[in-house]
This record gives sequence, structure tokens and C-alpha cells, in this order.
Amino acid sequence: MKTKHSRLVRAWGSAAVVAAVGLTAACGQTEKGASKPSSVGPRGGEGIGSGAIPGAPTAPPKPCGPEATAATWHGPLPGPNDPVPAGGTLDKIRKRGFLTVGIDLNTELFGYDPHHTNDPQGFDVDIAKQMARAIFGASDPAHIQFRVVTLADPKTGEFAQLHNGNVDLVVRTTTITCARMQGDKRMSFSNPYYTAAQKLLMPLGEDGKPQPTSLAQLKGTGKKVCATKNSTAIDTIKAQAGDDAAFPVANALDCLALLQQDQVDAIFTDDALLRGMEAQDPHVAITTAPPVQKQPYGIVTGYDPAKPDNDLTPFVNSVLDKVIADPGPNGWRSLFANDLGMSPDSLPEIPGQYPLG
Amino acid sequence: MTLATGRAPTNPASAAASGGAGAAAAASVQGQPPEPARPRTDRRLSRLRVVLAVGALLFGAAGIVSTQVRADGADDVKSHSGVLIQQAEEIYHRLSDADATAATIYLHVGEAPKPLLDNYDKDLKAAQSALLAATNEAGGDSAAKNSLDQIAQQLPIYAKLNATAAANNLVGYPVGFRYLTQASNLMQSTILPQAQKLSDTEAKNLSAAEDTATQFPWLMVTAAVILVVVLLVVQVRESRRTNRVFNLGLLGATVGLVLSLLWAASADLVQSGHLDKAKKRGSDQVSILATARILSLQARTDEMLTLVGRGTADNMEADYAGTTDASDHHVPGREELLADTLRDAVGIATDRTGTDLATRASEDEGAWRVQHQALRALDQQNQYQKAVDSALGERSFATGQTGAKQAFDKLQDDLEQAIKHSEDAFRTEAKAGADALTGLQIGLGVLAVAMAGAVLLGLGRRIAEYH
Repeated sequence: MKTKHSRLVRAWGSAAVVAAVGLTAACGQTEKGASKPSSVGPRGGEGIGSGAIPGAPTAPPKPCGPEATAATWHGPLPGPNDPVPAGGTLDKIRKRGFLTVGIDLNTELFGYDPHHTNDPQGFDVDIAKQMARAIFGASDPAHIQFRVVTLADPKTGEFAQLHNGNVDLVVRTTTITCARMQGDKRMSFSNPYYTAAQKLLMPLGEDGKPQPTSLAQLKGTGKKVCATKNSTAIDTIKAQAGDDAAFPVANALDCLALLQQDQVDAIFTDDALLRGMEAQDPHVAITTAPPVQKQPYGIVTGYDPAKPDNDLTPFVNSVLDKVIADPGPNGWRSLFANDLGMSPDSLPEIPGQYPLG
Repeated sequence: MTLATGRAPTNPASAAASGGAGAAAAASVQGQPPEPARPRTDRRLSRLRVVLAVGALLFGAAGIVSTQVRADGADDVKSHSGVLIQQAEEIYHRLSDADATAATIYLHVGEAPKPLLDNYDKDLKAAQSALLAATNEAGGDSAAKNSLDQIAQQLPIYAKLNATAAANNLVGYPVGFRYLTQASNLMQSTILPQAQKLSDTEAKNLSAAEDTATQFPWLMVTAAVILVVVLLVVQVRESRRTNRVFNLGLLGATVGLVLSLLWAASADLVQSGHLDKAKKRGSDQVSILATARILSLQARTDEMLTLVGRGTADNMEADYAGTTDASDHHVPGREELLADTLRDAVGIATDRTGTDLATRASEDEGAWRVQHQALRALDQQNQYQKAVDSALGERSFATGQTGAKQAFDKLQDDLEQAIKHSEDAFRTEAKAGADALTGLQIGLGVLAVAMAGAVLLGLGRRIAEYH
């Protein structure tokens, strides 16, 4: 079953690469509006909050596959009291006494602080806590500190706090893309811990049920579809529903506020964010149309050119494997069910090719 | 008509002399033979008598009109324009305060403290009252009316956005912050600029009123110059003709004229002095201090939104602290502008109390900046709760007794006092300016009538001598 699945994934991935390369080639023209790509390949960029873009990407990213995130810990995973290699990142974190994690606090269900009490909740937060548990045997506030981080550039990726060493890792609904692992401000990703898909959110139908509408069906209807500016979602909206349909905003959550005020008709973004919006408004729902494209989320660690064999990503991957396999209350399935309010359909997939970005 | 008096001499040579050239007229008089035909002189004197009497009355009228213009201006400074600019500043201040308060309310866990909620309500109500009052006062001023309309239309939308933000916040939905941001954007980039425009318009109107109030009384002075020249010429001629040194009537009229001028000049000087003080000690100070207060409230909004945004509103901190780009181009933040404005306020203060109050506000600003920086550092070091406590002033901190809230509140208190001090000075001086002209118009009228009477009597006696 696994092989069959991964072959499917691989086929999907190759098609995506072709489309993405085509798009990248057409990119310069697209921005001027000279030509419209007929289809859009998966690029990263959605799933993060704000998105101001300083400057365009320099070189087009090269395709990358599972090997880009595959590093695992050599030998058995060290317990909280087992020795770790001296001078390594783990050693540094242990000596400090707590793990620092970059998260978001404005994404309902994934990273949020509902009562401004500095008690973050959500799936991202819980995954981060499992990392602290693996290092210290505990995930209380004494052993894990959270910082709010934002991606400076959705396309190439850059978490200032991560790059200047203020946080050890980032768990923040961040799509694994090749561009983010290859640019000047590159970062390392773990294997996926969640597979998001880009979907459409609309008000409930007149029968009180989610509407069946797809993005393509909105073409020519004059309806406005909201998404984060500079994101791939905006490109997809333009390609499938027409240029006029795209309604870019600074923050994905602005879309919900605008939808509630009837200024837009639909929101198109990762289902992870859409689920959080559903949780904040009983009158909207993700439409039943099939997802447009998949977005694997990874745990981000810093990339140190002096230490290309980054020692934190392998550790994170091995912990993640353990958490995914764990059937207990701190296992992946339980956390998913608790935080997202539904049982997962499947485990997080490792695609044959990662989105190019 | 007064000019015709200058040409009254019968001799054709002197008839050519213009009325303003008194010396020339006097010279031509010298060359005249001493006894012209009696009936002609008689008729000439009769005409001169009427012309001089009418001239005196016209001078009085000119004085009254000139004074009325200045009095209207002074009254405008005291009431209409002075009131409108205060309403405009009240609107601006209240709305800025409401915005800072809304962000502060949002930062509270659960229901915010009642005084804070009351403060927000009070701000909006006060802004609405000021809007109404300003609309009534604005009359036909279309620029002001337009700004007021815009504000009145946007304000309910603003209040609704904030209410939605609060409702979402109460149940812990992050979308509430997006509403708060929308509301604040609407306030900062649409409503407040209109309030600013209104303030600017009213500041212009006030300065125009000040100009009118201190306008040089050309009409009156011109009339006075002509009248005095004619009076002198006639007197010189009469004294030659009659061997009497003085004609008491004409002399009386001349004295009356001089008295009128002295009275008007001194009253106008006193009035100008008061209006100058009203501007320097009052409106100039109020204007700069009000600017400082608005800036401080906007900076407070930045401080709050940065905290509430949890990393998604860091542009607000840039707004507060300013930015410097790679090529060293510095864009000053609101804090810097505030500090500069307060320094200016100290610089233009005109009395001890004003200087003290402005200096205190400037020091408060420095203290707040220190607290703000400490707060930002706490937030960045994952001590969010402490940063919030500092912003809301709820507990004391390791760094000291006071937080950003106390520092900000102290700045507001001192600014409030400084503005009140300057407003009092403005009101006192504007009223004194308007009062300075009291009685002048009646006085000028009475003196003019007396002058006319004196001329009629004085020349009447001369004409009688021919009969």
C-alpha cells in the first residue's frame, strides 16, 4: 500500500514540477499581465501570516525530493539523560535548560493564545512541545519558550528570529519548498508533520450545508476571492477564476473579517488556516470541491553553512517518526484529533517532489 | 467731497492746487489781495462751513467703520473662530484617544476594566458633541463642512468595527485583531486626516480673523489726514484775513480730531497687543501642544497594537520608532516627532508656567520612551506578560515601580494642564482684545458731532461779522 501510494505521489509530483517550471519561466511576463499561465504548479508561500516581499528571487529553485528532508539521527535517539555529542546544537540547548520555538499566535487551531495569557495552544504548539519532551523529558514552560516569528519573504523564506539564533526551531504552518531550502537565507526542514491542501471557504449554502463550489466555477461570476498577497494562492486564483477575482490582503485572517463584512465572497488558502476560520465563524465552511494542491508543512531549523550536516534536523526527524508512530495521548493522532477537532484521514505524506517555491 | 473743500478758494491759480497739497494751497493764499468782493467771501465761507461740518461727520463715520471691522475680527477671534478651532482640536483629540483606548481595551483579558470602557464611550460621545457643535458653528464654510461630514459618516463604521473586534476577542477568536486593525486603519488613515484638515482650516480662519482684527484703519486715517489739512489751511487763512490768532470753533474741531485719533490709536494698540498675546501665549501654544498630544496618542496606539499583534503588527513598532534603510535614509517615527514637537513647545513658551509645563511634558515623554523600550525588550525576551503588565500598568516590575502606562498617563496629564494653561491665556487675551474697543465707536461718533458743531459755530460767527 505504501509503495502504491508513493508512486501516485511521485506521479503527482512530477506533473507539478513540469507545471512549476513552466510557470517560473512565464513568471516575468505573468507579473506584467502579458500572459496567463493555464495551470499553476505548487509553489510555497501559503500558510504563513503576513507577506511583504522585498525583492524578487534571484535564481530559479532546483527541484528537490524526499532526500532534502530525510536526514535522521544516527543510532538510537538519546533520552533526556543520555549523553549527546558535545558542542552540538542539542548540547547547547540542554545546557541552556530550555528550548526556544518560533510559532504564530494568530492562527486558530495551530498557534494561538486565545486569552492573551501567553499560554499558546494549537497543533503547531503541541508538535513543538513533543520536541521539548524528547530533549528534557518535560514540556512545561520552564523547558520550552515560545517566540512569535513571521516569514519576511514568503517565496524564498526567511525567519529573522531563526537566522539570528533567537529560536532553535520554528513550527508555524510552514510549507516545505525547494526555494526555501536553497536560497541565500535558506533553512532546513524536517519531514512533513502535516499535509495541508489549498481549498475554498465560502458562506454556508442556503440549506445550511457547505457549498460544492470550486475555484474554477467562480470564473466569470464577478465574485471576489481573498488570499494573502504575494502568495501562490493569489496566482492560483488568477489562473483559475480570473485576474479580477483575486483580492489580495496583508494577512490571511483579514480575509475572514472581509468575508464577514460581505466585501469578499470566498477565501482560498491552506485548509489548515481555513479550519481555524471555520472554528471562529459558524456561518462559513470549506467547500466540498476537491483540493487544488497539497502543501506539506515541515518543522524549520536553522541552516548553518559552517555545519552543513545540521545536527538538529536529524534529531527532529527521528522524534517526529516516534511521535507519528505513538498511539498514546502524546502521539500524532491524538494531538491532531484534540487540536483540530477531527481524526486525521491519513498520516502526513512525504511527496515525491516538494513544491518548488 | 472733502477734496472739493481744498479747491474752495476762488482764485483760479489756487483752484488748480490739489486738496492734498496743503502747503501749495497756503502759499497761493499768501499771494491774494486782502479784500475780495464781500458777498463772494460770504458765500465762500458759508460753503466752507457746511463742507467742514460734513467732513467732520464723515471722519466720524470712517472711524466707526474702521473700528467695526477690527471689532468684528476681534469678536471672531474670541468667539467663532476661536470656538471652532477648539472644537476641531477636541474632535481630533477625542478620536485619537478613543483609538488608543480601543487598542488598550483589546489587550485586556476578558472584560476590560469599567473606567477604560467608560473612557472609550466618553471619547466617542464627546467627539460626537464636538462634531455637532462644530457643524452648527461652521455655517457656510464648505471645506469645514465637508471634513465634518466625512468624519460623521465614518465614525459609526469605526465604532462597529471595534465592537466586532471586542466581541471576537471576548471569545478568544484571533480574527478580532483583524477587526481592530481595520478600525485603527480607518481611524488613522481616513478619519484623523479629516480631523487634521478641519484643524488646519480652522487655524487658517483664526489667523484670518486675527489679521482682520489688527487691520490698519486706512479709511479713518485717510479721512483724518484730509480733514486736518483742510482745517489747518482754513485756520491759517482765517487768521491772516482777520488778525485774530485763533478761530475758537475751528481750533475746537482740530482738538477734537486729535483727540479722536489719539483715542482710536491707543485703543487699537491695546487691542493689537492683546491679540498678539492671544496668538503667542494662546493659540500658537495650544496648536503645538495639541499636535504633541495627538502624536502621543498615536504613538500609544502603535505601542498597543504591536503588543496585541503578537508579531503580526511589527510595522506598528516601526511607526513608533521610525526606520532607517540600508542607504541610511531615516524616516522619523512618531516618538521622535513627539519629542521634537515638545522641544519646540518649550522653545516658544512665553511665561514661566508655560515653560515649566512644557518642560515637564518633554521629560515625561523621555520617561515613557524608556519604559517603551523596556517593554519592547521584555516582549522580545519572551516575557510577554510583563510587557503587557507594563503597557496596562497592572503590576509593578522588576525594572521599577512604574510601567509604560504610568509614564504615558503622566504625559497626558501634563499635556492637558499645559494646553489648559494656554487656552486660558488665549481666552483672557482674546476677550481683552475684543473689550479694548468698547466705547470707541460711540466716542468717535460723539466727537465727530462735537467737531461738526464747533465748525458750524466758529465759522457762523465769522459769517455774522459780514452782516
